Amino acid sequence: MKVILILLFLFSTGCAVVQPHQRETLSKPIMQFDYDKSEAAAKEHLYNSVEASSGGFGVGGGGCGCN
Amino acid sequence: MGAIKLRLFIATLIWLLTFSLRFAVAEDYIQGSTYYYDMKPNMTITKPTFSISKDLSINTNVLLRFNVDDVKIDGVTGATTSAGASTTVSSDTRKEGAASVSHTIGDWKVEAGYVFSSEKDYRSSTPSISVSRDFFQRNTTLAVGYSHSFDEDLNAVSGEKNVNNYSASLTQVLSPWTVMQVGYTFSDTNGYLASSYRRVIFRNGGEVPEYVPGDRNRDAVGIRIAQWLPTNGSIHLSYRHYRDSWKIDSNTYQVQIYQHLLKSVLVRGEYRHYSQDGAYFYKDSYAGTERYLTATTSLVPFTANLYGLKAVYTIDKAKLDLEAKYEKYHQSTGLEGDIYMLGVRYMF
Repeated sequence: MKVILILLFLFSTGCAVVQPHQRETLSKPIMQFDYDKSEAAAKEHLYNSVEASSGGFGVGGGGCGCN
Repeated sequence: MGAIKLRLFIATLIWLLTFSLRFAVAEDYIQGSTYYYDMKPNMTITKPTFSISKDLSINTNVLLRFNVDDVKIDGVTGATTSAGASTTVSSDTRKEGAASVSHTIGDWKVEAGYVFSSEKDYRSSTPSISVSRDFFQRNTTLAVGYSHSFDEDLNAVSGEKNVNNYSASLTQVLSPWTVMQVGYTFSDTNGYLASSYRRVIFRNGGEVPEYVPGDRNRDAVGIRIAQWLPTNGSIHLSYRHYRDSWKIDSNTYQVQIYQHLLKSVLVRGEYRHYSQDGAYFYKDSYAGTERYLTATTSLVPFTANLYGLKAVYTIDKAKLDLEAKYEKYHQSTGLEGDIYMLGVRYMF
């Protein structure tokens, strides 16, 4: 939790409005979170199967959907 | 019921594929991948996946995904746990389908989804909905979501499990080269949360099915940042803190570095570190007088590391991406995984 608060503080201080024509870099696939949704789902399923934690980002299931 | 859902899903997939070849817009793709998990000491999983993403209009996108987990287990599993777990499952096939539709109206975006999976003794279905809104010339996006999982362990006498998932996230553009996201999820689970296969062996040799609390509340908060690199690459950093009512606390740190080696060659290196406490009722061994007993290996305290390398080769003329990946997963419990993936993505 402390790590999150520190990172939030550090990054929130440098926040400025980025204009649409400045978004070329941000729109590249390698700048997207979970660009490959199929791979992200496969990873999430693995972690949910062998670890006790889940969640943190996005809407998802509450477990691995398996036994 | 599961078979009907599966046929309906495959029919929709075929229809969408036919439809998409006539009305392609942009950023549409068909993707096929096969994963192979070699999980030591004794399990292998072959997982073919197929997905299609299609813009039905400039505002509406449909995503369909289907995968099969073909699980093979050599001998008895769980015997390596200190609690002396045992199970009789030797092989299974799990089928999973997912569909989602998103629609954008001005600054608003609504997404509805549905995921179902079935195996010979377990069923799960999860409808979901999320709404997001852009602010400040799309520099800020707020999103909230809800999903409900209806699960059932068919091997248990009363095996129903229900999960409510709530989520919220804030995505903030920080500069033309940096974007950050903070997310929070809460879920409450109730019903049959044990596994009907796992049995706990007492110190005196007695044996009973595992028995765990019938409810569990889970909180997770995460932050992730994507930063463009002047080398024509990017770095993604993420951190997640998780805790639940079974007194499990965990921390997850992950870094991914993307780098274009050539215009047509992209590589990704990855490292993930995970650590968790054990559930409050977990013990190395049980006397038999405890209220709750578990043989679930994911409820013990452990650390885990994952190292990965992925390469993508793009053939522009054919609109193809060829993908290959290798990951090494290692848990301090002794669980080890070698994960391989080969895939192809066709853009149309």
